[in-house]
Amino acid sequence: MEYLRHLMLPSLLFAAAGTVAILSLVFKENRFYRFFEHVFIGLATGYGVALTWTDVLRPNWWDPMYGEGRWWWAFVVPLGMMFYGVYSTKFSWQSRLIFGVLFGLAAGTVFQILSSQYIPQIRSSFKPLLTNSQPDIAHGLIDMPHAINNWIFMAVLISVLTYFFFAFEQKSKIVQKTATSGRYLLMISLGAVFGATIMTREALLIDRVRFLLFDWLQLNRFMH
Amino acid sequence: MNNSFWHRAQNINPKILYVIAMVVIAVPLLNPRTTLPISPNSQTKKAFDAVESAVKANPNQLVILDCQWSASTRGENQFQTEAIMEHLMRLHAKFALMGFVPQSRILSQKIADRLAPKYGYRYGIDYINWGFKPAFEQTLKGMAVDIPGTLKEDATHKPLVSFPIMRDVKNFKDVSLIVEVTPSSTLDSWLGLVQGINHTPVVYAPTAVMAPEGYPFLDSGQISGIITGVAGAGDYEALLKTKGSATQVATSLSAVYALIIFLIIIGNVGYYASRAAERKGFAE
Repeated sequence: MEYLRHLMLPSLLFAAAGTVAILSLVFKENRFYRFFEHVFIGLATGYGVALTWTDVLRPNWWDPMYGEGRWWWAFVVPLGMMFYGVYSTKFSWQSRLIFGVLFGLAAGTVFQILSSQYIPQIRSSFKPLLTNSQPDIAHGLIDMPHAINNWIFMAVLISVLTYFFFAFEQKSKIVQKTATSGRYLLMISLGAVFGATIMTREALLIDRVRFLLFDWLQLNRFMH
Repeated sequence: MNNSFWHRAQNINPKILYVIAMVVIAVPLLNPRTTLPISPNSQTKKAFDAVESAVKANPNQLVILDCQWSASTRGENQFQTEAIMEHLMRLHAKFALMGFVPQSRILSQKIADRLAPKYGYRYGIDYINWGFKPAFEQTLKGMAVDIPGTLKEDATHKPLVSFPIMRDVKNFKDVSLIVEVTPSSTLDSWLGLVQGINHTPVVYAPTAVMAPEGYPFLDSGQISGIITGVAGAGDYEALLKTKGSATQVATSLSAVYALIIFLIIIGNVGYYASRAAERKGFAE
């Protein structure tokens, strides 16, 4: 009886039905799936709207302006309204002004991110091709595994960079072959990304199966 | 010829494959004893060591566990968060949960609520939840100067300065480590706006699909380790010498991967075999 009550708990039952409905699409497009898809979109939209008020606008704008007497926050309303000028030919100049400010701020931030993110990348690409950097290697001896690693790194780096070098026509056979090998190397890396994508998708499916088996059906209670 | 085994092997009804995949996923989950031995990879070991060394070197500093995930990637990020949080609690590290995704405030707190009694962790003293904050990059820039002034409140809307854990926390200089659990491209901003300037170590725990993007940063030393999806969480549990949910899920994942590889081989062998049979038919 207690188990049946658990199975019929509205929140669990709804979540289980939603999971089964969404997964049912892989077998066939059906009304059960469509219904839950619409429910999901409605919930997500409602949640987003409510959250914008409760977690963004109220604590950061309304409460300081209305509750703490910082009346000058009222001036952000006309500034915000300027974004909507984009929908009118007459007032589109207003949206350009505010978008310009926003783009300027974003560009500054991105520039800061790029410089401190990619300069270390460039620095780390300068790798010694003959190395004895390992502390346990006697002076003058080459640390072969390390050196081979760096040679591979350098060959891949040059090949891929050559592939993306479009400033002039690649006429030389050597350049063409290097660029082609760069393309193949990129395809290998894209294959690795695709494999990782499948891993993520499968992991998400496993989580939903766990939810159905353990959280809803509680099969784990019969296993012991 | 069209009814040959190899021809049929290329045209298996996808619905049958889905059912087989579900069974292959469910069987290891329903048999907790069928876990595969896990040999943690070097990226996860680096992440584990980074957490260990950051906490031991600066026991009074804060670790930021940034949970940028929502229910949609719970299948991977939950297990990563759980494994890392368990490690932090074992080390008695002070940590702060935060997120720029609204749901993460609740989801990460649920994990903390589950683990805290086991390690005697008290809210506001040993850990805190900074909650959801909008405007990711602007918030990071503000935090670089003044963390309590920028974030103001915790997840329960109480002033941050009222919590003992926040007593000596001013900016990122008082943070020993940042752990980024994410399904999105948020690493760039942490590296660009925080790690690149303050040299605070960053451990990256992305979903598997995002992990390849992190390898160049691991190679350059900008991040200290990668925990790749649920497989990485399973590795982390192995390093913690515990067998939790991630180990179980990693076994299911291995099983379904084995199935996929088997089907790819069957499909390809079938393709070449039926082509060879067709050629033979033409020759005759």
